[in-house]
Amino acid sequence: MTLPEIGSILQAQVDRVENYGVYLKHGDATLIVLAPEVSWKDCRPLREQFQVGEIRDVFVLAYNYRDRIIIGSFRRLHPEQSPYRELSRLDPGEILKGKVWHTTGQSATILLPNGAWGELSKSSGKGRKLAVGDEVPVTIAALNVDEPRLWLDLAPQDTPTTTPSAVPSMAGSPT
Amino acid sequence: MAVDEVTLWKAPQPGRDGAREVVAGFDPQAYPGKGPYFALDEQLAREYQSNYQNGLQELYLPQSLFDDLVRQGVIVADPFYPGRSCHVPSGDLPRFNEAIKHGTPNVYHPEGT
Repeated sequence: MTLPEIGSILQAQVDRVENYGVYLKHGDATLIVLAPEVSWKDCRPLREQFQVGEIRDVFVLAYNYRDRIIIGSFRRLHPEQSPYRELSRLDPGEILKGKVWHTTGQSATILLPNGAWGELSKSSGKGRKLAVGDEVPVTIAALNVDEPRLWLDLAPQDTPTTTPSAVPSMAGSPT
Repeated sequence: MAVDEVTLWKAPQPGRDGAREVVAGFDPQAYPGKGPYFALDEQLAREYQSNYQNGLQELYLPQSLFDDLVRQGVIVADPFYPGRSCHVPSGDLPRFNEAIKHGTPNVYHPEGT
């Protein structure tokens, strides 16, 4: 089998739908789109979103050499909808208001208003206690739009937070 | 979490008893073949949780034990997410289940918490 170019777009037929992903066929090749790669926003169960036999465009993301499966993505066909790409357009140091979703000993998971998840190292909090549900001012420490992954720093508590127009309200939250 | 521990995250699929699994372990019969998959970072697990809507499991095991299990092929790298995920083949789950009893007590976060 000739491997398709990474980054190309294939048309493939939905072959099987599981909770964790959608299997498709393109000629003799098998593709899988794992659940996180389906959509930036739509969190409905995959069986509600896909029907066996339908034809879909698939963005070729990578190749799983061990299992000989093409790893695809639907959401990357629409990069303009990525909440992480929205964040990449903000000025460095822009202060965002995030909500503490979960905490561990070392870090906290922060949900931003546009639905992006970020990891906040507690060492950046300078000893400030974080509790689930707290709203906290944060700035972007590092951002990988393609993966996507986001690392955050805690901003000083008395800094006025802004909600940039690029980051809409919590209505877009995936949960 | 202790400093010398590894944290594994898993979003249980709909219908799985996430609370029971963090205590009793993962049933090989319920996870045939390549077994259950675990994220090494919480963000990845959260992405699956967004679809599954069935809470989040947080598992701890000592770093040295984790390293041993990787060397022995009990914990296997996930080629779909290099460096971010792993899986435990069904036949190795009894050893894995024993290992996750040796760290900080495992936690299940029900959906919405």
